[in-house]
Amino acid sequence: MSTDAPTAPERTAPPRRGRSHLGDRLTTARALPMLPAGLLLIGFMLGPILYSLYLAFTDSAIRGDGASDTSFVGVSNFVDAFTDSDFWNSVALTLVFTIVSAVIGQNVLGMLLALLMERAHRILSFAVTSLVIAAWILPEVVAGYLLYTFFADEGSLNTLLGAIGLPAQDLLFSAPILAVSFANIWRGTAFSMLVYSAALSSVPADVYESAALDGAGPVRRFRSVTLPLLRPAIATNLMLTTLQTLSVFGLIFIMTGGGPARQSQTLPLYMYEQAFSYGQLGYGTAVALLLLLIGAAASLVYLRLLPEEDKR
Amino acid sequence: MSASTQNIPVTRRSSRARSAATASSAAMVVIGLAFLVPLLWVVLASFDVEASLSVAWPDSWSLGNFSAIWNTETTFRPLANSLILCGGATVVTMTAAVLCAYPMSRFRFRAKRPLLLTIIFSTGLPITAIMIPVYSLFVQVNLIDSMGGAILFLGASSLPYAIFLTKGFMDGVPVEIEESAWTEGAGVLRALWSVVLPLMRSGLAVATIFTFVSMWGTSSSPSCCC
Repeated sequence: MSTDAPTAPERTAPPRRGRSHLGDRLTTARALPMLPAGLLLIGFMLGPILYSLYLAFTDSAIRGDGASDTSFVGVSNFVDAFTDSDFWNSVALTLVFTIVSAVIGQNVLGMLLALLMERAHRILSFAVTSLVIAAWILPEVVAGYLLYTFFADEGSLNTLLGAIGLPAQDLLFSAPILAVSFANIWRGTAFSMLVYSAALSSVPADVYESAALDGAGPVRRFRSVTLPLLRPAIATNLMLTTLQTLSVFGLIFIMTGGGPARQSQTLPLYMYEQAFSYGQLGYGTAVALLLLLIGAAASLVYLRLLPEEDKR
Repeated sequence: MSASTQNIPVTRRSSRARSAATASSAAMVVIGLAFLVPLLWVVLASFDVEASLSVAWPDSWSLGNFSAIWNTETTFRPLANSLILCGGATVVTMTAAVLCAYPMSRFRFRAKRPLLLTIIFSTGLPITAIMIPVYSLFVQVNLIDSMGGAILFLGASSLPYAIFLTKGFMDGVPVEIEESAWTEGAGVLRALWSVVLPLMRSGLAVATIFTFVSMWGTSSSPSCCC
């Protein structure tokens, strides 16, 4: 937090109008309110991240050898991870989960809902969006349990399929990663819907009217008017949902526990199993660090996509 | 369904607009049902004496399930714990976020852009990944099983996004009003409390609700430090 006091006096003249000249220069006294946030972030975010940088290179464990005296083991945790087929399995599953549920599912459904909201009957829109948001504010654990019963052998989905004469499914066993992906779509679509409907409402109506006058049909209008105007919102939302989905843990843990036979074990679940079930804190932290790196890479892309005015 | 679409207030009374509205409403109903069924199950099953895993209209309604959990042990204590944990953490987050966002929104300094970029960057970090180091840290400083430690961690973990949101809303409050407060001699905190915060009430409500709801929804952070 640099304060740059020396040049302050001549710059504190009445601030010019316009966005880039909000107020005066920051002095130490004026920066003081930022202290609590700074301390919290350093203590509970930066601290653990730095500590995990250390922990990942040790054989720290909850019980056994590494518990009593932890020793430095170099990169062997990472070598173990890269040579473990279960690790690569969970990386692949994390990718499938993120792409199916966040990049495709939540975004497309969220956009669709936002578009429908503008056209459908007002009371109906209100009811449906309330349901979607209700699914979103349900705690992760409850959502996981509800969706487990929905997909279960004797669950609602099979009852409904039976009622319309379709064969029963057993997604929780045949394709658990799809079941948890659908569950995540159910739970997370509200976020994309809200982002897109906010973005859509800021598009002036006359743009559509002139496009319609020029003879553009609904599809053409969506492609050539809506999408370009919404590009920043789409980019931001894509990144945010990706980042949220990367670290989804509770939902999968409740629904399948990563099983059967690791078929839905994404990286966070793999990390949890290694660290807390097998007690290998060092190895688990190494995996966590890799997850953190993937998140950091996605976060950097997100930063580049963010509109410039948000960064000032 | 088609009856309900009859009374749409159609602004442009063309048949095309009306058919688009009907199709949209139909699509809405389908999506709505997909979201409704799991929610409906939990409501119906909770009143059902012989609830199964499938959504079904109960043959005999009963409040027995509720009376079975209506005690301190299974419901009230965990509920109180959740409220203290999430409520406390929301207070911590929003206080720190507002205090941090104000100087960032109102003053100029060279490190502002890097600082904001860092904050946005850390909103993206998967909190699940620092579960283990936080657990080991808490073991070492003896914060394990402590409500205070969990509140601070939960508060800190949602702080970056709260700062980002709050600063965005704060930027929307015109600086001119505050300038007159400054000329009247109000300090930073005074201007913040009596001028800026009342003007950004709705934004503040959004950020607070968002923070609370996202905390209320997670299970992983408490499970690692309590």
